[in-house]
Amino acid sequence: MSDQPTLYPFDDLPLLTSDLLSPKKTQKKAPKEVVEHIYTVGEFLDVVNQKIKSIETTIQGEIGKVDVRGAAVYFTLNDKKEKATLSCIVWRNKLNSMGIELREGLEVKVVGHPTIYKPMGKFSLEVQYITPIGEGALKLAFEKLKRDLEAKGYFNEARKRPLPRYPQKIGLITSMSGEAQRDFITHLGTYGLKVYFYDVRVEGVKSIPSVVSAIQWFNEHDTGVEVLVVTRGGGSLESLQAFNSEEVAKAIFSSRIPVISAIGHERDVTIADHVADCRASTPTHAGKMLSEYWSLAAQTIETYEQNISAVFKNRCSRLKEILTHYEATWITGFMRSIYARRERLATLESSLTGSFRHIFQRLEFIEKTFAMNHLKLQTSINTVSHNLMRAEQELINGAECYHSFLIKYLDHLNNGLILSDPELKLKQGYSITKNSAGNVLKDPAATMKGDIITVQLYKGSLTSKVEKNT
Amino acid sequence: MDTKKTDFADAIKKLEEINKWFQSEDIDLDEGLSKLRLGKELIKSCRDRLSTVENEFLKIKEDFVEEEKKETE
Repeated sequence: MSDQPTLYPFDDLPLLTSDLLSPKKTQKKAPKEVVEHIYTVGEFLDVVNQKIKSIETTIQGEIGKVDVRGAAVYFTLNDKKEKATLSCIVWRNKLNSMGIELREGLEVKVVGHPTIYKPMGKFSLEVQYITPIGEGALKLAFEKLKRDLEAKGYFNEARKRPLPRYPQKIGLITSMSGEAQRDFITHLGTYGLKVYFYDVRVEGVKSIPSVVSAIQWFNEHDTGVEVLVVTRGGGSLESLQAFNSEEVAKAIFSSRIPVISAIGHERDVTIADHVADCRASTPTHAGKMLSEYWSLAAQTIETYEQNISAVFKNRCSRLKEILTHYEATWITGFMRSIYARRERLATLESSLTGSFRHIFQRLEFIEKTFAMNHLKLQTSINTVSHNLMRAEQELINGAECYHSFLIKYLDHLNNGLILSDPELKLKQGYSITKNSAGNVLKDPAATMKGDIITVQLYKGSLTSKVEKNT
Repeated sequence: MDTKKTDFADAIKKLEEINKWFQSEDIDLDEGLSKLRLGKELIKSCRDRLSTVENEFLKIKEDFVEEEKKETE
């Protein structure tokens, strides 16, 4: 797509006084309706300047002398084919924003409108855009702008924003007639996305304001667009010039909406690519980039579903296994415990029974012993009783004997007594001599001469005095 | 549309979290069941969203042209 300059043949230029006063009237009627109005030079030049301002034209030529004075840069544009020269003025800040270094001999296309400099009455072209012609010049301009913007932080990765993963609304800035939009749309997939398509010029000097306006439009209108795609197909450095301009770079830099630039082919890296939040190598790549997560989503969802279900099922079966294991362990343990208790009970029972048996045996033994002892005792009692009875009998018998004996003995004693009776002795003529104390005297030595002694006789007693004891 | 977008991105994010949760060593069965249910719902809604296929194109060239005209006037 080429940018055709608007041509204004000299005859069409409304420079007649009548036109200046009554713009609606045609110039053909002018000569008859000339009004004698006297202008000052300044007024006249003001009117002319006002009128010719709208004649925006693109002119190609070679830069001649360059003169930088204050805020303005003056240069001449020369015709290569014939001797023709045009004075040009460009504001310094505008020139800086173009990233072009004006050098003598550089061939350029300039866009601007004519103006007359009042103090000198000099006709010149006030330049809006300058596009270098020729790869070398463009390359130099590109490198210079790149350096400048880099220094200003335009390419800083830290300020770049991530793209939305699942964009629903996309702002597409490209030419409706270009291949780029078809490639982009073809590879965007079909995910129910809303694409706001802003048709712009992507080549020629007017492409710069066109692209800038589109970026600004999206930033100024509440469309809900989440990402802007600035794209065009491949081309020469000259045809990509808009995307190597500071204006477009600034518009991308200032955009509150993240921007993907997809300019040209993979090898074409423009200033716009450096400034954009994300660079796609081609329009196709940009489409794929935005649909990537959408196309992966179905697969991702599938994976998540499988993972979640599998993990849950796995977990459930693991829990079942654990439960089964626990159940088995617990039952076994419980049964074992029951068996152990039973065994213990049996042991205790057995032990107890044993103990009782022992006690019973002991009791039996005691009983037997007791019975035996009882028998013994009985025997003993019987024996004792018998003995007693015998003893009693013997005693009785003995007593009786003793009684007889005693009687006999008494009789004997009696007989002895009778024989021993002193009276009987006395009667037989024996006497008993006693001392004065009454003691029976058996030895004369027990008496002394002169003792009084009593001699008892059968019939009476004698008192005598010891005369002699021999 | 914004709600839909948020829902889809949110749903995917939640699914991602649920999936991550399920990858953890020890999962609580009750919580797992509730997360499984939520996950299934989210998967269904995401699938429904993905089944909307055709894109919509709105050409805004006319607006631009109108603005351009206004500027030149």
